[in-house]
Amino acid sequence: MQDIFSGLATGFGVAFSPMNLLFVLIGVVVGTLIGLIPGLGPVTAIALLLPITYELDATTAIMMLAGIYYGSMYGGRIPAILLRLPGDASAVVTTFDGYPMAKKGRASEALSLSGIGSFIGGTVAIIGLTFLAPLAANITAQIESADLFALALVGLLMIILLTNGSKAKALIMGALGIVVATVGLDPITGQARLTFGSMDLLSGIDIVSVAVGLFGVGELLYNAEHGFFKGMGKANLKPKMPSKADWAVSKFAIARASIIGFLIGIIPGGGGTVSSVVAYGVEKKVSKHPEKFGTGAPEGLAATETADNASSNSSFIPLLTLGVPPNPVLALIFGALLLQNITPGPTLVQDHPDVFWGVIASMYIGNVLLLALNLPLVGVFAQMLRIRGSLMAPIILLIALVGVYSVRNSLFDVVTTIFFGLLGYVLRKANFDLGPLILGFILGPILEVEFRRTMLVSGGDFGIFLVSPVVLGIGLLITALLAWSIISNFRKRQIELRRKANDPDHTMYFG
Amino acid sequence: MNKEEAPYIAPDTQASPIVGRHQPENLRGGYPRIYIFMMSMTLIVFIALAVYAFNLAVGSFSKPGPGLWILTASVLALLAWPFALKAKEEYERFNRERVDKMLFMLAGLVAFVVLYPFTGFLVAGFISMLIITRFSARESWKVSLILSVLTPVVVYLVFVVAFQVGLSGLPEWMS
Repeated sequence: MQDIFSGLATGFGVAFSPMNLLFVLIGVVVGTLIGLIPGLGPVTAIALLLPITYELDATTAIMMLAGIYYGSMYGGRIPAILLRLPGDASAVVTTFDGYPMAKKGRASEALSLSGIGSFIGGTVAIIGLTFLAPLAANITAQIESADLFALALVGLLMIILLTNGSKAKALIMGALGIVVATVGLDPITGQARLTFGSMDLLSGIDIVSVAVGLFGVGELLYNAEHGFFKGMGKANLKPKMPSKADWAVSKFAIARASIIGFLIGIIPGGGGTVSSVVAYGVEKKVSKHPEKFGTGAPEGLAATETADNASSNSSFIPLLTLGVPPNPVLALIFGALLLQNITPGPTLVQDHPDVFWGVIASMYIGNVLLLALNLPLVGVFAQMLRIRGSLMAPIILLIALVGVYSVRNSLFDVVTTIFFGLLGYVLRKANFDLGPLILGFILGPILEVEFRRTMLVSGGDFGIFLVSPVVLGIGLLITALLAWSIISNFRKRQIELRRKANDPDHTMYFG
Repeated sequence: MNKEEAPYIAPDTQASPIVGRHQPENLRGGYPRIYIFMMSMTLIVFIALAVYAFNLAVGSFSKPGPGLWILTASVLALLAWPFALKAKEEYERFNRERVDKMLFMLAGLVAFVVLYPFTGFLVAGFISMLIITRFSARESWKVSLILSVLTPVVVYLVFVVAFQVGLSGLPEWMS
């Protein structure tokens, strides 16, 4: 316990430096602004700003990126409430009750309530992170190559198994990401792979090019096809606190959603949307007036936003302590840390305590800053929605290209970005999920290096994987996931077949 | 006496919420051409990668070679391929007019890369922005020209002058 408080004190010392404070502020503001633009979400926000982190030191870079992440979660609720247009997928549930409140002329109260709920959820999650993360790191401190391999594998597998849509297509994407990551020099033998004689490819494909391409350029290409956001009319939004009646119905919802969001955020694939949906469902179930949900129930709105922000903070636990990014956004932050020669994982707290505790401390600060900015300035932020998407898209594209160029002063990186942008667009059209691709790209090198190291140490004996309790535990988890996936598909098929056969009482069984 | 402005009332929208990240529209079942194309490409690419990996040297499990990991990923993808092909999903219908807007955006991006070595950032940025703003975003000529002039200049001032990024503003023969 003493270690935790002294670590946190160190972290606050790092976070309160003027430079770090400035970049946390920049991160939360920029994150909020990008998050509220319909068509762009936290993944795009992080991808577009990744090039900037090259010029910063590791702690500052990660603080800023973390700020962008939960800032964009805050921002995404603004168009969801005002226009029924979620800034990102996790804000869809926000529209259920936030938008009806706005239709009744209570938009300011809805924005304030969701902001305060987000703050409380975020604070609870960060406190949990403060105590749980070092504990998890201590448990896994004696980790070896086989364990690192197993952890990276479970991270990738969970994203594949928890994807919406075809798991087989997700696996193909994961494999593609792994292969793309092998371009360049073999990390152990130094041999060139998939370079085709190109000097540019010898240094590998940069994560910034892939990230900006897939989630920045690709997203905007998709938006170009479907039409840009047309802009909101004039809106008078004076800050206004929720009423006493709103608080009375929302306080327990916020408390419950904080815990739900915290727990779900830790699970790979369980962030944002899942936590919002579960928290909303729980509130509706325990409510004495479930019929109010969907018509402007303050507790419904409070629950979704609280859980959303809680999960975005707690999702840092698997990243910082196990080195397993639980979603594509954290995968990009993971990639940013690797660029700084810092490998998140069980040894991070010992090897780089300033980064570990600095990030945690910055999350307390960022959470307060977000509330302090969003409550009085929500009307100002909302004015961004008056700008047409067709004006913002070209500007964002040019900035993205320059950002990518600035990393290595390489036009080849810009070409790569455009290539991945087109690839991302085509893959989306063919219903391929991009999350496993970016995770495969980021985790692939770790999987390969740790696997080959393990095999070299064991002389090719796979039994080494059965010796470690971490690997055995993870093996059981992977088996459970696979079994769950198979059973889940079987049950879906049974339900569908029963529906077609008109068998509501489930008396028929189908092979 | 100043009247207090009425609070914001959200406008009516379509029946179903529009997700910020666009969802596929005008869905169809079966196997659209883009899907057949992508599945064919993945099959060809991963077979080619498997062959490449063998030529690179797979090594053995006691001494893994540089090709082992590429081969592993390729085999996994090829094993998953038939199941991916069987997946019954819905896809967007092809809409030529809408795809044109995407193609213009792509053309603008390619124009930047092609022109930059010869014209420098300012001219390449201007032409790229003009193509994207006018033909993809379908803004008026006036708005397109203003944006295409201002944006590269502002970006140049911020990134090159302030942040010292090594972009050439003008072509080499002019600097």
